[in-house]
Amino acid sequence: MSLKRKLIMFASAVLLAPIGLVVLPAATANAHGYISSPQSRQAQCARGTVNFCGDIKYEPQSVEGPKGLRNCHANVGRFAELNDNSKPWKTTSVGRTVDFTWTFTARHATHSFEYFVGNTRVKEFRLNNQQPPATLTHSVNLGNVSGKVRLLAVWNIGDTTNAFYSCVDLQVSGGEEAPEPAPEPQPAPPPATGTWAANTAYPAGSIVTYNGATYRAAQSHTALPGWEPPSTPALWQAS
Amino acid sequence: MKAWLLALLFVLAGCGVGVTETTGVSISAPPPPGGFNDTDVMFLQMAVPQHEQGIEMARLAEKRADRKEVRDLATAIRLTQADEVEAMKKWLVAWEQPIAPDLDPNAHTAHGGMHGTDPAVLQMLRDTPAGPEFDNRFLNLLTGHQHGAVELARMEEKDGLNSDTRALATRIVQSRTAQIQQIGTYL
Repeated sequence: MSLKRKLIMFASAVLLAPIGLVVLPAATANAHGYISSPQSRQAQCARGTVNFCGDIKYEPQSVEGPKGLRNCHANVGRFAELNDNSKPWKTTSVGRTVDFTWTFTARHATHSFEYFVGNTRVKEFRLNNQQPPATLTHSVNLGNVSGKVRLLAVWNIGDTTNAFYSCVDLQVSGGEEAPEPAPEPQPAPPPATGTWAANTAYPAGSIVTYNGATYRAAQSHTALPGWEPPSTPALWQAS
Repeated sequence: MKAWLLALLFVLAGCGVGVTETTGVSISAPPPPGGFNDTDVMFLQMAVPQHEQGIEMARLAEKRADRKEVRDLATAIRLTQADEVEAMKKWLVAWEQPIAPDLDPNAHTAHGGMHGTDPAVLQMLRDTPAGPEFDNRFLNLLTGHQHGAVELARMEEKDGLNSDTRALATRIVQSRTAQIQQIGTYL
Protein backbone atom coordinates (compact mmCIF):
# COMPACT_ATOMS: atom_id res chain seq x y z
CA MET A 1 0.00 0.00 0.00
CA SER A 2 1.42 3.38 -0.94
CA LEU A 3 2.01 6.08 1.59
CA LYS A 4 -0.52 8.21 -0.24
CA ARG A 5 -3.12 5.48 0.05
CA LYS A 6 -2.40 5.18 3.73
CA LEU A 7 -2.79 8.91 4.13
CA ILE A 8 -6.14 8.74 2.41
CA MET A 9 -7.25 6.00 4.79
CA PHE A 10 -5.95 8.02 7.68
CA ALA A 11 -7.66 11.17 6.51
CA SER A 12 -10.91 9.28 6.01
CA ALA A 13 -10.72 7.80 9.47
CA VAL A 14 -10.07 11.17 11.02
CA LEU A 15 -12.89 12.67 9.01
CA LEU A 16 -15.36 10.07 10.20
CA ALA A 17 -14.10 9.74 13.75
CA PRO A 18 -15.88 12.78 15.18
CA ILE A 19 -19.18 11.37 13.95
CA GLY A 20 -18.52 8.48 16.29
CA LEU A 21 -19.09 5.72 13.78
CA VAL A 22 -15.54 4.58 13.25
CA VAL A 23 -13.20 2.57 15.39
CA LEU A 24 -10.09 4.04 13.84
CA PRO A 25 -8.71 1.48 11.42
CA ALA A 26 -5.95 3.70 10.13
CA ALA A 27 -3.22 2.57 12.49
CA THR A 28 -3.59 -0.89 11.06
CA ALA A 29 -3.26 0.30 7.48
CA ASN A 30 0.51 0.60 7.73
CA ALA A 31 1.56 -3.00 7.88
CA HIS A 32 4.63 -3.89 5.93
CA GLY A 33 7.16 -6.66 6.21
CA TYR A 34 9.21 -9.35 4.55
CA ILE A 35 11.52 -12.26 5.34
CA SER A 36 15.04 -10.99 5.95
CA SER A 37 16.71 -14.30 6.93
CA PRO A 38 17.38 -16.46 5.00
CA GLN A 39 17.49 -13.61 2.49
CA SER A 40 14.23 -13.46 0.55
CA ARG A 41 14.32 -12.11 -2.98
CA GLN A 42 13.27 -8.62 -1.86
CA ALA A 43 15.86 -8.72 0.95
CA GLN A 44 18.52 -9.46 -1.67
CA CYS A 45 17.34 -6.39 -3.60
CA ALA A 46 17.38 -4.15 -0.50
CA ARG A 47 20.83 -5.27 0.60
CA GLY A 48 22.42 -5.02 -2.82
CA THR A 49 23.11 -8.77 -2.84
CA VAL A 50 21.73 -8.64 -6.39
CA ASN A 51 21.75 -5.53 -8.54
CA PHE A 52 19.00 -5.93 -11.13
CA CYS A 53 16.16 -4.64 -8.94
CA GLY A 54 13.95 -1.59 -9.50
CA ASP A 55 11.77 0.09 -6.89
CA ILE A 56 11.71 -3.01 -4.72
CA LYS A 57 15.18 -2.16 -3.39
CA TYR A 58 13.68 0.86 -1.60
CA GLU A 59 10.64 -0.92 -0.22
CA PRO A 60 11.13 -4.66 0.23
CA GLN A 61 8.38 -4.45 2.84
CA SER A 62 5.70 -3.51 0.30
CA VAL A 63 5.03 -6.74 -1.64
CA GLU A 64 1.33 -6.61 -0.88
CA GLY A 65 -1.58 -8.05 -2.80
CA PRO A 66 -4.87 -9.85 -2.35
CA LYS A 67 -4.90 -12.98 -0.24
CA GLY A 68 -4.63 -16.31 -2.02
CA LEU A 69 -1.90 -15.53 -4.55
CA ARG A 70 0.91 -18.02 -5.08
CA ASN A 71 3.56 -15.88 -6.75
CA CYS A 72 6.51 -13.84 -5.50
CA HIS A 73 5.47 -10.32 -6.53
CA ALA A 74 1.83 -10.17 -5.34
CA ASN A 75 0.82 -9.19 -8.90
CA VAL A 76 2.48 -5.79 -8.41
CA GLY A 77 3.79 -4.85 -11.85
CA ARG A 78 6.69 -2.68 -10.68
CA PHE A 79 7.96 -5.62 -8.60
CA ALA A 80 7.69 -8.13 -11.47
CA GLU A 81 11.38 -9.15 -11.28
CA LEU A 82 10.64 -10.86 -7.96
CA ASN A 83 8.68 -13.50 -9.83
CA ASP A 84 11.36 -14.07 -12.48
CA ASN A 85 13.01 -17.40 -11.72
CA SER A 86 15.59 -16.85 -14.45
CA LYS A 87 17.24 -14.05 -12.45
CA PRO A 88 20.38 -15.04 -10.51
CA TRP A 89 18.81 -15.06 -7.05
CA LYS A 90 21.13 -16.12 -4.28
CA THR A 91 20.26 -19.54 -2.89
CA THR A 92 20.75 -20.28 0.82
CA SER A 93 21.86 -23.77 1.88
CA VAL A 94 19.70 -25.13 4.69
CA GLY A 95 18.67 -28.33 6.41
CA ARG A 96 15.04 -29.52 6.45
CA THR A 97 14.23 -27.27 9.41
CA VAL A 98 14.70 -23.60 8.69
CA ASP A 99 14.36 -20.51 10.90
CA PHE A 100 12.66 -17.68 8.99
CA THR A 101 13.08 -14.19 10.44
CA TRP A 102 10.77 -11.32 9.49
CA THR A 103 11.56 -7.62 9.33
CA PHE A 104 8.60 -5.30 9.91
CA THR A 105 8.18 -1.61 9.30
CA ALA A 106 4.81 -1.75 11.00
CA ARG A 107 3.04 -4.60 12.67
CA HIS A 108 -0.46 -5.42 11.63
CA ALA A 109 -3.21 -7.43 13.28
CA THR A 110 -2.51 -10.82 11.77
CA HIS A 111 -4.66 -13.70 10.68
CA SER A 112 -1.82 -16.09 9.90
CA PHE A 113 1.57 -16.78 8.41
CA GLU A 114 1.70 -19.57 5.81
CA TYR A 115 4.70 -21.29 4.22
CA PHE A 116 4.40 -23.05 0.85
CA VAL A 117 6.73 -25.30 -1.12
CA GLY A 118 5.17 -25.62 -4.56
CA ASN A 119 1.44 -25.96 -3.90
CA THR A 120 1.95 -27.67 -0.56
CA ARG A 121 1.48 -25.67 2.60
CA VAL A 122 4.20 -26.96 4.88
CA LYS A 123 3.37 -24.79 7.89
CA GLU A 124 0.80 -22.34 9.19
CA PHE A 125 1.00 -20.09 12.25
CA ARG A 126 -2.30 -18.50 13.35
CA LEU A 127 -2.26 -15.30 15.37
CA ASN A 128 -6.01 -14.75 15.92
CA ASN A 129 -5.74 -11.11 14.86
CA GLN A 130 -2.99 -10.30 17.32
CA GLN A 131 -0.10 -8.07 16.31
CA PRO A 132 3.10 -10.03 15.75
CA PRO A 133 5.99 -9.14 18.06
CA ALA A 134 8.51 -6.53 16.88
CA THR A 135 10.86 -9.31 15.84
CA LEU A 136 9.56 -12.69 14.76
CA THR A 137 11.28 -15.94 13.83
CA HIS A 138 9.40 -19.06 12.71
CA SER A 139 10.98 -22.51 12.74
CA VAL A 140 9.58 -24.46 9.79
CA ASN A 141 10.11 -28.11 8.87
CA LEU A 142 10.03 -28.27 5.09
CA GLY A 143 9.10 -31.95 5.04
CA ASN A 144 10.47 -34.52 2.68
CA VAL A 145 12.03 -32.23 0.10
CA SER A 146 15.60 -31.79 -1.02
CA GLY A 147 17.53 -29.87 -3.62
CA LYS A 148 16.62 -26.47 -4.96
CA VAL A 149 13.35 -25.18 -3.54
CA ARG A 150 11.50 -21.89 -3.96
CA LEU A 151 9.65 -21.29 -0.72
CA LEU A 152 6.76 -18.82 -0.60
CA ALA A 153 5.86 -17.18 2.70
CA VAL A 154 2.52 -15.41 3.04
CA TRP A 155 1.59 -12.96 5.81
CA ASN A 156 -2.20 -12.82 5.89
CA ILE A 157 -3.45 -9.60 7.43
CA GLY A 158 -6.26 -9.89 9.94
CA ASP A 159 -8.48 -6.95 9.08
CA THR A 160 -7.87 -6.32 5.41
CA THR A 161 -8.27 -8.54 2.35
CA ASN A 162 -4.53 -8.34 1.68
CA ALA A 163 -1.41 -10.35 2.35
CA PHE A 164 2.34 -9.79 2.06
CA TYR A 165 4.47 -12.18 0.01
CA SER A 166 8.13 -13.23 0.26
CA CYS A 167 9.92 -15.85 -1.84
CA VAL A 168 13.07 -17.49 -0.48
CA ASP A 169 15.38 -19.59 -2.66
CA LEU A 170 16.75 -22.55 -0.72
CA GLN A 171 19.08 -25.47 -1.36
CA VAL A 172 17.77 -28.12 1.00
CA SER A 173 20.06 -30.89 2.19
CA GLY A 174 18.68 -34.06 3.79
CA GLY A 175 20.12 -33.46 7.24
CA GLU A 176 18.45 -31.57 10.03
CA GLU A 177 21.03 -28.81 10.14
CA ALA A 178 23.11 -27.35 7.38
CA PRO A 179 26.55 -26.35 8.60
CA GLU A 180 26.82 -22.59 8.80
CA PRO A 181 29.89 -21.40 6.94
CA ALA A 182 32.22 -19.71 9.41
CA PRO A 183 32.38 -15.98 8.75
CA GLU A 184 35.62 -14.85 7.17
CA PRO A 185 37.65 -12.80 9.62
CA GLN A 186 37.77 -9.24 8.37
CA PRO A 187 41.22 -7.70 8.07
CA ALA A 188 41.71 -4.54 10.08
CA PRO A 189 41.14 -1.47 7.90
CA PRO A 190 44.37 0.09 6.67
CA PRO A 191 45.10 3.66 7.75
CA ALA A 192 42.65 5.60 5.65
CA THR A 193 43.75 8.68 3.78
CA GLY A 194 43.16 10.15 0.36
CA THR A 195 39.90 10.98 -1.31
CA TRP A 196 36.72 10.24 0.65
CA ALA A 197 35.09 7.06 -0.66
CA ALA A 198 31.81 5.43 0.28
CA ASN A 199 31.95 2.01 1.95
CA THR A 200 35.41 2.69 3.39
CA ALA A 201 35.92 2.15 7.13
CA TYR A 202 37.45 5.34 8.55
CA PRO A 203 38.90 5.16 12.07
CA ALA A 204 38.63 8.38 14.08
CA GLY A 205 41.44 10.70 13.07
CA SER A 206 41.47 9.68 9.40
CA ILE A 207 42.19 12.56 7.04
CA VAL A 208 40.38 12.74 3.70
CA THR A 209 39.81 15.22 0.94
CA TYR A 210 36.41 15.83 -0.61
CA ASN A 211 35.78 18.38 -3.38
CA GLY A 212 39.10 20.02 -2.67
CA ALA A 213 38.55 20.45 1.09
CA THR A 214 40.27 18.46 3.85
CA TYR A 215 38.33 16.75 6.63
CA ARG A 216 39.25 14.83 9.76
CA ALA A 217 37.08 11.92 10.99
CA ALA A 218 35.67 12.78 14.41
CA GLN A 219 34.13 9.34 14.87
CA SER A 220 35.05 5.87 13.60
CA HIS A 221 32.50 4.84 10.99
CA THR A 222 32.04 3.28 7.58
CA ALA A 223 31.43 5.98 4.97
CA LEU A 224 28.13 5.73 3.13
CA PRO A 225 26.52 7.51 0.17
CA GLY A 226 24.50 10.33 1.74
CA TRP A 227 27.08 10.75 4.50
CA GLU A 228 29.48 12.93 2.50
CA PRO A 229 31.75 15.07 4.72
CA PRO A 230 30.15 18.48 3.98
CA SER A 231 26.70 17.25 5.10
CA THR A 232 27.85 15.29 8.17
CA PRO A 233 29.72 17.71 10.46
CA ALA A 234 29.18 15.26 13.32
CA LEU A 235 31.36 12.72 11.50
CA TRP A 236 33.80 14.98 9.66
CA GLN A 237 35.44 18.19 10.85
CA ALA A 238 36.73 20.54 8.19
CA SER A 239 40.39 21.25 8.78
CA MET B 1 -0.14 14.67 -3.34
CA LYS B 2 -3.63 16.01 -3.68
CA ALA B 3 -4.13 19.37 -2.01
CA TRP B 4 -7.55 18.40 -0.67
CA LEU B 5 -6.09 15.37 1.00
CA LEU B 6 -3.40 17.39 2.72
CA ALA B 7 -5.91 19.97 3.80
CA LEU B 8 -8.02 17.19 5.28
CA LEU B 9 -5.07 15.64 7.01
CA PHE B 10 -3.73 18.78 8.50
CA VAL B 11 -6.93 20.46 9.49
CA LEU B 12 -8.75 17.41 10.79
CA ALA B 13 -5.80 15.85 12.56
CA GLY B 14 -4.78 19.18 14.01
CA CYS B 15 -1.50 18.38 12.37
CA GLY B 16 -0.01 21.70 11.36
CA VAL B 17 -3.25 23.60 11.71
CA GLY B 18 -3.56 26.47 9.34
CA VAL B 19 -0.81 25.31 7.01
CA THR B 20 -2.91 25.77 3.94
CA GLU B 21 -3.91 29.29 4.92
CA THR B 22 -0.51 30.52 6.02
CA THR B 23 1.76 29.18 3.32
CA GLY B 24 -0.21 30.49 0.38
CA VAL B 25 1.87 28.16 -1.77
CA SER B 26 0.05 26.89 -4.79
CA ILE B 27 1.30 23.56 -6.02
CA SER B 28 1.15 24.75 -9.62
CA ALA B 29 2.92 28.08 -9.01
CA PRO B 30 6.63 28.39 -9.72
CA PRO B 31 8.58 27.81 -6.51
CA PRO B 32 9.54 31.08 -4.79
CA PRO B 33 13.03 31.18 -3.29
CA GLY B 34 12.93 29.37 0.03
CA GLY B 35 9.33 28.44 -0.59
CA PHE B 36 7.77 25.34 0.85
CA ASN B 37 4.58 23.36 0.52
CA ASP B 38 2.41 21.16 2.70
CA THR B 39 4.37 18.02 1.83
CA ASP B 40 7.58 19.66 3.10
CA VAL B 41 5.87 20.52 6.38
CA MET B 42 4.28 17.10 6.79
CA PHE B 43 7.55 15.36 5.95
CA LEU B 44 9.48 17.34 8.56
CA GLN B 45 6.78 16.93 11.21
CA MET B 46 6.74 13.17 10.67
CA ALA B 47 10.51 12.80 10.25
CA VAL B 48 11.41 14.52 13.53
CA PRO B 49 9.82 11.90 15.83
CA GLN B 50 10.88 9.13 13.45
CA HIS B 51 14.49 10.28 13.74
CA GLU B 52 14.19 10.68 17.50
CA GLN B 53 13.12 7.06 17.87
CA GLY B 54 16.12 6.03 15.74
CA ILE B 55 18.39 8.03 18.05
CA GLU B 56 16.95 6.21 21.09
CA MET B 57 17.50 2.84 19.40
CA ALA B 58 21.09 3.84 18.60
CA ARG B 59 21.74 4.95 22.20
CA LEU B 60 20.72 1.51 23.47
CA ALA B 61 22.95 -0.18 20.89
CA GLU B 62 25.95 1.95 21.83
CA LYS B 63 25.62 0.62 25.38
CA ARG B 64 24.66 -2.98 24.69
CA ALA B 65 25.84 -4.17 21.29
CA ASP B 66 28.46 -6.88 21.36
CA ARG B 67 30.36 -5.98 18.20
CA LYS B 68 32.39 -2.82 17.75
CA GLU B 69 31.22 -2.29 14.17
CA VAL B 70 27.61 -2.32 15.37
CA ARG B 71 28.39 0.18 18.13
CA ASP B 72 30.25 2.39 15.64
CA LEU B 73 27.30 2.32 13.26
CA ALA B 74 24.96 3.20 16.14
CA THR B 75 27.13 6.16 17.16
CA ALA B 76 27.33 7.46 13.59
CA ILE B 77 23.55 7.15 13.26
CA ARG B 78 22.93 8.95 16.56
CA LEU B 79 25.26 11.83 15.65
CA THR B 80 24.07 12.32 12.07
CA GLN B 81 20.37 11.99 12.92
CA ALA B 82 20.74 14.47 15.78
CA ASP B 83 22.11 17.03 13.30
CA GLU B 84 19.27 16.25 10.90
CA VAL B 85 16.67 16.72 13.65
CA GLU B 86 18.20 20.07 14.55
CA ALA B 87 18.05 21.25 10.93
CA MET B 88 14.49 20.02 10.49
CA LYS B 89 13.27 21.79 13.63
CA LYS B 90 15.01 25.00 12.52
CA TRP B 91 13.21 24.91 9.20
CA LEU B 92 9.82 24.35 10.83
CA VAL B 93 10.46 27.25 13.21
CA ALA B 94 11.58 29.49 10.34
CA TRP B 95 8.39 28.61 8.47
CA GLU B 96 6.29 29.25 11.60
CA GLN B 97 4.99 25.71 11.59
CA PRO B 98 4.49 23.54 14.68
CA ILE B 99 7.29 21.02 15.29
CA ALA B 100 5.17 18.60 17.26
CA PRO B 101 1.58 18.70 16.10
CA ASP B 102 -0.79 18.59 19.05
CA LEU B 103 -2.87 15.65 17.96
CA ASP B 104 -5.88 14.47 19.83
CA PRO B 105 -5.31 11.02 21.36
CA ASN B 106 -7.33 9.10 18.78
CA ALA B 107 -5.65 10.80 15.87
CA HIS B 108 -2.30 10.20 17.48
CA THR B 109 -2.98 6.49 17.72
CA ALA B 110 -3.83 6.47 14.06
CA HIS B 111 -0.80 8.52 13.18
CA GLY B 112 1.66 6.60 15.32
CA GLY B 113 2.49 3.83 12.93
CA MET B 114 3.25 6.20 10.11
CA HIS B 115 5.68 8.23 12.16
CA GLY B 116 7.77 5.11 12.51
CA THR B 117 7.56 5.44 16.25
CA ASP B 118 6.45 2.04 17.42
CA PRO B 119 6.91 1.95 21.21
CA ALA B 120 7.11 -1.86 21.11
CA VAL B 121 10.35 -1.62 19.13
CA LEU B 122 12.06 0.45 21.82
CA GLN B 123 10.59 -1.72 24.56
CA MET B 124 11.91 -4.89 22.95
CA LEU B 125 15.40 -3.40 22.78
CA ARG B 126 15.21 -2.20 26.39
CA ASP B 127 14.21 -5.72 27.42
CA THR B 128 17.11 -7.35 25.57
CA PRO B 129 20.30 -7.68 27.63
CA ALA B 130 23.73 -6.96 26.17
CA GLY B 131 25.18 -9.72 24.01
CA PRO B 132 25.12 -11.18 20.50
CA GLU B 133 21.32 -11.62 20.60
CA PHE B 134 20.99 -7.88 21.19
CA ASP B 135 23.03 -7.17 18.05
CA ASN B 136 20.79 -9.33 15.87
CA ARG B 137 17.59 -7.82 17.25
CA PHE B 138 18.89 -4.29 16.95
CA LEU B 139 20.01 -4.81 13.35
CA ASN B 140 16.66 -6.34 12.40
CA LEU B 141 14.65 -3.57 14.10
CA LEU B 142 16.89 -0.83 12.72
CA THR B 143 16.43 -2.22 9.21
CA GLY B 144 12.65 -1.99 9.54
CA HIS B 145 12.95 1.47 11.10
CA GLN B 146 15.11 2.80 8.27
CA HIS B 147 12.79 1.32 5.63
CA GLY B 148 10.18 3.64 7.19
CA ALA B 149 12.54 6.62 6.86
CA VAL B 150 13.13 5.82 3.18
CA GLU B 151 9.38 5.61 2.56
CA LEU B 152 8.84 9.02 4.17
CA ALA B 153 11.78 10.65 2.36
CA ARG B 154 10.67 9.28 -1.02
CA MET B 155 7.31 10.96 -0.48
CA GLU B 156 9.18 14.26 0.04
CA GLU B 157 11.39 13.70 -3.01
CA LYS B 158 8.27 13.16 -5.10
CA ASP B 159 5.96 15.89 -3.81
CA GLY B 160 8.05 18.32 -1.73
CA LEU B 161 8.94 21.81 -2.95
CA ASN B 162 11.66 23.26 -0.71
CA SER B 163 15.10 22.61 -2.17
CA ASP B 164 16.92 22.18 1.16
CA THR B 165 14.25 19.81 2.41
CA ARG B 166 14.30 17.82 -0.81
CA ALA B 167 18.10 17.61 -0.66
CA LEU B 168 17.86 16.30 2.90
CA ALA B 169 15.30 13.74 1.75
CA THR B 170 17.66 12.57 -0.98
CA ARG B 171 20.49 12.17 1.54
CA ILE B 172 18.13 10.23 3.82
CA VAL B 173 17.16 7.86 1.00
CA GLN B 174 20.83 7.33 0.09
CA SER B 175 22.23 6.94 3.58
CA ARG B 176 19.45 4.73 4.93
CA THR B 177 19.50 2.50 1.87
CA ALA B 178 23.28 2.20 2.31
CA GLN B 179 22.87 1.49 6.03
CA ILE B 180 20.47 -1.33 5.24
CA GLN B 181 23.06 -2.78 2.86
CA GLN B 182 25.78 -2.41 5.48
CA ILE B 183 23.58 -4.03 8.12
CA GLY B 184 23.10 -6.93 5.71
CA THR B 185 26.82 -7.64 5.92
CA TYR B 186 26.58 -7.79 9.74
CA LEU B 187 23.69 -10.27 9.87
